[in-house]
Amino acid sequence: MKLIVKCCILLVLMINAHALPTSSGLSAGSSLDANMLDPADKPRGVGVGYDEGIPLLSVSIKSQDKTSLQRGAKMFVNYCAGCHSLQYMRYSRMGEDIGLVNYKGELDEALLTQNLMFTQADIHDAILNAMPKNDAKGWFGNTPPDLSLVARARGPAWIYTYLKSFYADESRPFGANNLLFKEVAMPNVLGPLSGKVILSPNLAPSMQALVLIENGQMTPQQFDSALVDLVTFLDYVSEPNKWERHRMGVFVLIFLGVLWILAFKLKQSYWQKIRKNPPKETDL
Amino acid sequence: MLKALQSWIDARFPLTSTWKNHVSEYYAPKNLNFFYIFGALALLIFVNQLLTGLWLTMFYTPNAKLAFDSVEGIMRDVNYGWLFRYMHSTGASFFFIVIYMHMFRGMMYGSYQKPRELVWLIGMGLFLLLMAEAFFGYLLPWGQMSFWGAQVITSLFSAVPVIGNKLVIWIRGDYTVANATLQRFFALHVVGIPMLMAALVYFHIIALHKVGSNNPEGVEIDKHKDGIPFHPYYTVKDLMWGIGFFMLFFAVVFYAPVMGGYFLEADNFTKANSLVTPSHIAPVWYMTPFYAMLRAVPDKLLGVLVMGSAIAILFMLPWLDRSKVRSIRYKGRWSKLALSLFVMAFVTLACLGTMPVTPFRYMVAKIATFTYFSFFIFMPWYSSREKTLLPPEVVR
Repeated sequence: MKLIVKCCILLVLMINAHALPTSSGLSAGSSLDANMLDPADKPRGVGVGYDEGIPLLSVSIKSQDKTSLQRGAKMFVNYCAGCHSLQYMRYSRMGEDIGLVNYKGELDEALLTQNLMFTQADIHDAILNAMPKNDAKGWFGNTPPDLSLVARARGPAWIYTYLKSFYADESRPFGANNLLFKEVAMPNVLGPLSGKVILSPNLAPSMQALVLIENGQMTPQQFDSALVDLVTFLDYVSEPNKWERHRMGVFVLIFLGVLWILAFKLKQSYWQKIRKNPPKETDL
Repeated sequence: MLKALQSWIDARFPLTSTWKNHVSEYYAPKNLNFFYIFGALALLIFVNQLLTGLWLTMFYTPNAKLAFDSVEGIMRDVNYGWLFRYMHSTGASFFFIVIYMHMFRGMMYGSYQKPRELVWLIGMGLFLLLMAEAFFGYLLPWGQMSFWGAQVITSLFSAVPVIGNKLVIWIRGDYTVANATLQRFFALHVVGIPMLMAALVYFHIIALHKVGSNNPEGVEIDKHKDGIPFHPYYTVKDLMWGIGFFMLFFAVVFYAPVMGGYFLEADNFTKANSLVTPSHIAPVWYMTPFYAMLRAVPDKLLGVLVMGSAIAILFMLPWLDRSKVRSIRYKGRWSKLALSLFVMAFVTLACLGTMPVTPFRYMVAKIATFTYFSFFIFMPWYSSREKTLLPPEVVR
């Protein structure tokens, strides 16, 4: 008993012995190595950029719309694939899934190679690019990341917001900055489509402060729609089996449902006997 | 012919008698309720983890350079690899849901009390192994959260006085979590811990069958009057609940395997990088109650001790409870209040552990940690002094 009382007192002391740490220490997880957990204190490489954490725009992707997927794929190979690979995605698999098929439902290789393949790759190869990693680091300060899983790691809303928040900034090496991902190394590749956007100096930095001052090849509506296609495509690439998963689930659940009814009836038939007349030794 | 075969085997191996002792003539109380299905479900999900894990091992590569790629290979290029992987990852979370319910049942109906202390202790051993198994397995996909989670948890051993830092290097096999760590965690995850778990599951069941199942009334049964044979009554009942459980399980596997970031964390879809720290490191949900307790103490060594005691004190439960009755149905109001507060504290800590700390949450975590320990520390008093109801002589 005495021991338990002592333990109890010790516990109270343990929990309250220390003053409340400062809030910066708190956000780092108070009892753990602060420098291990707080990314704000980490030194950053030049040109890596960092997430500003502005509220994300909502985007509704059209996951099963094959025309949207095809437009997104076209946009990707034309504007993104020069620098960004999709190392876990094969051309052939992509072609089949986004509907580049002939009347038999088989992959139409000509459609794929003529429209979406600009490298020497074989149709079963992964979607890689020729940019040497070390050179890329020299040019941009950072190797352009592979985008196979970006939609799972960041989420579609993040990609959409990111692509919409580029603005002209002469202080940056490529003349462009990003509101969501500050000091980003990536040039504003979609600039010619969206037109010239500046960050209004009179407003607080937010999406509302981004002002279009010079029209591009697309109207703002067309540009938004093109981005939705691109995000839809990247979402597909991040998990190509998603629709197979959703389709298969229906059958599995129906099968289990039928099985459950049978098991329920079986259980009922046995247990009714128990409730009415308890089993005797001889019944068993 | 079959009879002859049976007697041939029985002369050499106790087949029929084992079947009788543990299944067809193992008498269980007839009043077991919903909470008693979780033992069978735990066995079911254990088998699920073994089988899906076996298939994943065929395609996974335990090497820091290849691990992440091989997992994506399973997700994309292996036929139904995505299904096995999601069954395994969802299975891990469901295993903990089932085990927490199973433990709650034991606490509610006093299933740890004499003569079932060893059943409880072996079960607690299984709980420890399950946490180790989950921790080792979580490193294997080699994503950012795998890496940094393992980095943080292994660094906790540096809190050990004197040998701390050397101990951490010994555990990791390197100065940080690295290929050596991945390979030893793989060995422990697929061979070491599962073998121990299988052995303890066997002991758990053997120990239970020696003393017999408790029941919601918490009174011993006359097995021939109030007992019903496990087979067919409980086999058909467990079959029904097992299928029902699988419906829920597969609904998650097929439609929400990520579970809003609680079952699979978004940061883990980025390959491990020792130079980039994720902005918020949180363990998977099933570890968060203990993680929240660790963070509620502002000193590393004390935090680790509090976290360790939170689990260690559960082992003491059979000797802390001095109540005359087993079941919560007949315990007094203090026990009922204490158990309710304990569950609330546990759930609160679980929620807090998933979130970044703020001064307010820090206070709440301290209060919840205190409540968690109070449940155990004051148990010898409130359980022995409170007024209890008189349980019935036999189960109804």
